[in-house]
Amino acid sequence: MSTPLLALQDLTVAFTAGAGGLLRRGRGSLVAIDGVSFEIGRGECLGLIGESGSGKTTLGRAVVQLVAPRDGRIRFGGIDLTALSVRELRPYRPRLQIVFQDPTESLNPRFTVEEILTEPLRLLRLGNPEGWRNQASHLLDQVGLPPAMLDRPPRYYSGGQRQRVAIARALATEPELLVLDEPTSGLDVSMQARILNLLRDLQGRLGLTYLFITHDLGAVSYLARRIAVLYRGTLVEIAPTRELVAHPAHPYTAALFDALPRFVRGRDPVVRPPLPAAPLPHPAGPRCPYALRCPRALDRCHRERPLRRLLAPSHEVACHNPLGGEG
Amino acid sequence: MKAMASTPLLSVEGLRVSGRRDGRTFPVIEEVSFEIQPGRLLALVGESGCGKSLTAAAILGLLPWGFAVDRGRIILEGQEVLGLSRTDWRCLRRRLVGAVFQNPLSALNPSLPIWRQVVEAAQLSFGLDGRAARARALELLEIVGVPEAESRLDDYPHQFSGGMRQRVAIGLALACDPRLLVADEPTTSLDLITQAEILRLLQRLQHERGLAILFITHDLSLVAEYADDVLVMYAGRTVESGGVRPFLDGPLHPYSHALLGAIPRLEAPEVRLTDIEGVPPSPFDYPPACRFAPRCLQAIARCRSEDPPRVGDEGHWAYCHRPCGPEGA
Amino acid sequence: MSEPARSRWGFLPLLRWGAFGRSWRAAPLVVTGLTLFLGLLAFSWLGPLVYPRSPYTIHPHALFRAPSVRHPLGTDDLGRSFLARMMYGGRPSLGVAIVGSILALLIGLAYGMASGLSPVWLDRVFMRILDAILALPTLVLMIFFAAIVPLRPLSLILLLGLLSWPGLARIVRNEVLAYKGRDYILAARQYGAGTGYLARTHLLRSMFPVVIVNATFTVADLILTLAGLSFLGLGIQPPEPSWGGLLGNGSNLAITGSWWLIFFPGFAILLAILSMNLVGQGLLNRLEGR
Repeated sequence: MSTPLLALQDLTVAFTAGAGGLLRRGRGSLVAIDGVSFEIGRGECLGLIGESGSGKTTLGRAVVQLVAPRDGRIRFGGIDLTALSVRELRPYRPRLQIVFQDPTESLNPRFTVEEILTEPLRLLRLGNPEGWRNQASHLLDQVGLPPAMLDRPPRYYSGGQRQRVAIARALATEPELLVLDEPTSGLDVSMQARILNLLRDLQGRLGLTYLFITHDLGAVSYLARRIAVLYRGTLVEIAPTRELVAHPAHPYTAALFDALPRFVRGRDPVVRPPLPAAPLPHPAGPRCPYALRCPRALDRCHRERPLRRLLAPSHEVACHNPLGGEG
Repeated sequence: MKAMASTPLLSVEGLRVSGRRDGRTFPVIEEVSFEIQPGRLLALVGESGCGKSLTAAAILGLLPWGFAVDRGRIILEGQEVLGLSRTDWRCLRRRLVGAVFQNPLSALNPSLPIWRQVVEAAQLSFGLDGRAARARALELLEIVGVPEAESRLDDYPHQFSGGMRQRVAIGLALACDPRLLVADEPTTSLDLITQAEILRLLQRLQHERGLAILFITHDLSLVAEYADDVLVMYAGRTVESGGVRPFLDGPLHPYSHALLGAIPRLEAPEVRLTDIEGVPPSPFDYPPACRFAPRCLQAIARCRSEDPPRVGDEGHWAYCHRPCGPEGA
Repeated sequence: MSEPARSRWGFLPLLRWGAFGRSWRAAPLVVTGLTLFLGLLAFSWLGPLVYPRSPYTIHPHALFRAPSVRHPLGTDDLGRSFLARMMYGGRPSLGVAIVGSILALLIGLAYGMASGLSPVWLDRVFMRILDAILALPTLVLMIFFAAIVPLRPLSLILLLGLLSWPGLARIVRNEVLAYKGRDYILAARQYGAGTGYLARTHLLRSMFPVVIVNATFTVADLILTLAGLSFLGLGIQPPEPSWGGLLGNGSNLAITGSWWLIFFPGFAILLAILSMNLVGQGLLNRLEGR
């Protein structure tokens, strides 16, 4: 494979916990993303799966440089974005766009759809002012919406329509990478299907690269050819979709698939142990972050943090005792 | 359980709920009829705005201001409830019906320890004293699977995770040993694994205690695994109803068909999802005749002029002029 | 969905000219308040065109005349037409308050934006400074400054403006904090918006309603403060009339039984404050009603 469009190397993001006064220092930090590495090839869609609190939203924001990482590198087309100054970063921002989960939040309610769609054009001086309205209706057309929508603010439209406006806006800067942060999770199944189809079509038509972040395994398998599983800030498994669906190796991935309704899963569950209740806050220390919940945990899992290793071609897992492995 | 199957726990007949706007009255829900037997789970499915939550609210007597039931019957354990006085209806409801909602945080009072909230309904109904109430609270939390329940009795709602809060909310709904549980999108705000935990808890309650459950959801994928019967609503009307097996094997109505086709399937990611053009109509602006016709790919002229007939058999039926064939699945 | 798309300023219904009736139904308080206030402005600035008597000319033979057809609001202790003095007195009373509020608004906006958009430590410094300023007793300070600077309308505007911005600054800063982490702000950053641009467009537009409501209340506040200063003889200086000064003078002469010298300026101040509070409350109702 040629150089990947996006490569993360040991990315670590931490937030300072506690407010602290003017003179006091922050009281320790909360590691949201802990040494995550992966690559996305040009034109590929990588799915990133995780529960709420797994850090998947933070990871998406770190990729587009809205959150500064504490450690690690983010290479975009070979250039290390984390080494750039704010000014040097500016020309790269339009090439990395993000679609947020909730379009009510991501579209300014005081703007009309036209203002929303022409804002990036205005800011980046793309095309000439007389053509902006046309460009805006062209963008709407790309996401299957009528140009008549331009004149009203977003509150006149349904959630699905608003999300398509948000996608149209992200397309305005002709980005290469689109980070999709749970773009369908607030929507009904029928609306979700429409957005997923749209994203699939756009990828084919425009050759976009996606990082598709979601907690919905069904949706992710529809768009992504490769899936990465995030658990409490660490990447526990990454594999091609078919491989992951057929042979999940990490017990957490297996639990995720097991929780899917049979209708989506398409087969009966292999094993169905009672799902362990989520433990109270996870104690730090050199242990597997999943050890407390894991039905397959060994002594070693509580002492030593598993490293990522190759299980099958392009199937990596961070587990001492993976399923289907020799143990 | 077979023996009881002839007497439904809840039966709703020709329910109509109207809302007012600009001084005019509009029927928001019309002609909705269904029955739930003890120990069974009926899934009420539809997109947002189709009237499913309003149906649940009518059964719970919790219709929002400006809405009222103006036709039909709601029969709970053989008793017609719409004719009852407010107080009688409330007492009946408290003993027979429990409710669980989408957002467990707003169902719980943040300033009271959970054990008090869990038994509040039981105290109102049976007048339990303090010690008995606390014991009952512990029992309820254990039923819904809160780990180390004894040590958590005095905790407050914010000390629980989303899934645990929903468990507590279910415990609260079970306080008076209801026969019917109305669950309005109880898992929509939860993670996949937590959702499965909650649904399996409901399933267990259904089987162990013969609880009847009215489960409201927009997600048909849950239906196959958890429901016994399905009722699909669109624009305030029933479009299809039946047992889960016949429904999944051959949905009759194009709308049900499209909803099923909109769910991504792991084993066949290459199959394009069905998307339905347009949005559901507003309750104040329902189209004539078949309400799905404007969005339906199968629609013919008759769909826009004549009310659709009922097709299918007793166990599985739909209102449609052009139902999908059995190979439609 | 038949209602027309509202424009960006649509929540200010009166700005849509020719829609008085509709606006009144939508926001009765705002319309009532604005009408009252515009009436007072017209009284002060246009009134002298209709009633062209000088407010300064002394008529020794017509002292303390009660209101009559000849002297609509009576005359004062020097026989000056009280109606003319009321009209001319409204100009500084209202004008200084309005311009002073605009000044306070501009300073408050700039300070609040700067604070809210700064890094956390600098924001804290800004806020501590603000706390210090807010801790100062404003009226005492005003009396102090009024005693040392020449009391002309311009200096009063500066005085009032410079002393009444901290409240607005805090509101603006809180609004900035509430909005700056919003997804639409992040999205705008991602397609190239700088901080200055975000402040001018997204933030300003998002906080506009809240800011305008508070600016309205500030106007009412300043009218009262200025009246208070003038009453104490520290505001507009005689022989220039101002409502506060007229009221002060009138109350000194209360013993003469000239009720009109107290009633009319008091009533005018009351109306002015009431009208602005009505506008502010009405706008607030609209904001919260949504």
